[in-house]
Amino acid sequence: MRVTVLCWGHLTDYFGSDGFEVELPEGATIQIAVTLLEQREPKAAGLTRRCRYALDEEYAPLETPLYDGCTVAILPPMSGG
Amino acid sequence: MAYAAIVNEVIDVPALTERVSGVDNGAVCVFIGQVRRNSRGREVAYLEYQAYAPMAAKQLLRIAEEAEAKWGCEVGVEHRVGRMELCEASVVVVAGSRHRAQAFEACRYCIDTLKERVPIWKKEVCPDGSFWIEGEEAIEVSDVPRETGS
Repeated sequence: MRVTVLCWGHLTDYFGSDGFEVELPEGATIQIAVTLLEQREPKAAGLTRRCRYALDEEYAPLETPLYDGCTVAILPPMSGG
Repeated sequence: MAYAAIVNEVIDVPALTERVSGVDNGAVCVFIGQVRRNSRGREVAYLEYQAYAPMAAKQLLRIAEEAEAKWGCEVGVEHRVGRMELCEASVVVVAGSRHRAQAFEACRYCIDTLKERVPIWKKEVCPDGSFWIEGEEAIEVSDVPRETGS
């Protein structure tokens, strides 16, 4: 299945701010998508552990299953205000 | 009715305040978060705010609705994104209620909760470098090429 991944904060330095698509096996979870990112950019490895995650614009835990066409966002600690 | 928005332009504080200034309200509380010159011992030239806009707008609205329900008041919030100079407002929260206690509490709840829950990130651009602010951490902006590791 095709999944869109969006990264924010300092992660945009590694992965860009426009998002990108990845091909994942059926049954993949947010965790699988995160692991893929960590493999792509080793510097991001420790960093994604302090992030929160969203599936289709709602907070979701790492074990949430993904589906074809969905959007996963990796959200580092926030600094609005 | 609660109102919240992520905006690209200068926040119109009087227009936002007008939303919660109905005749039933005896108190209107306005909180303005603005760009400060110093951060963590560094001089700040300007800030750049980035938002996951659709999710941020939803979360902001939910926070405003929670405050309205909890304190029986009217709430409006705008957060600006993009580049902001010193003294410019990055966020404005307005709350109107019959009496002042509810408006103060609602305002405080919104700004405190916003910082925890709304997907917005700040980059501090300083004379000696740029830093992503993530929670309590400042991470120097990296220029690593994106193809690294692929």
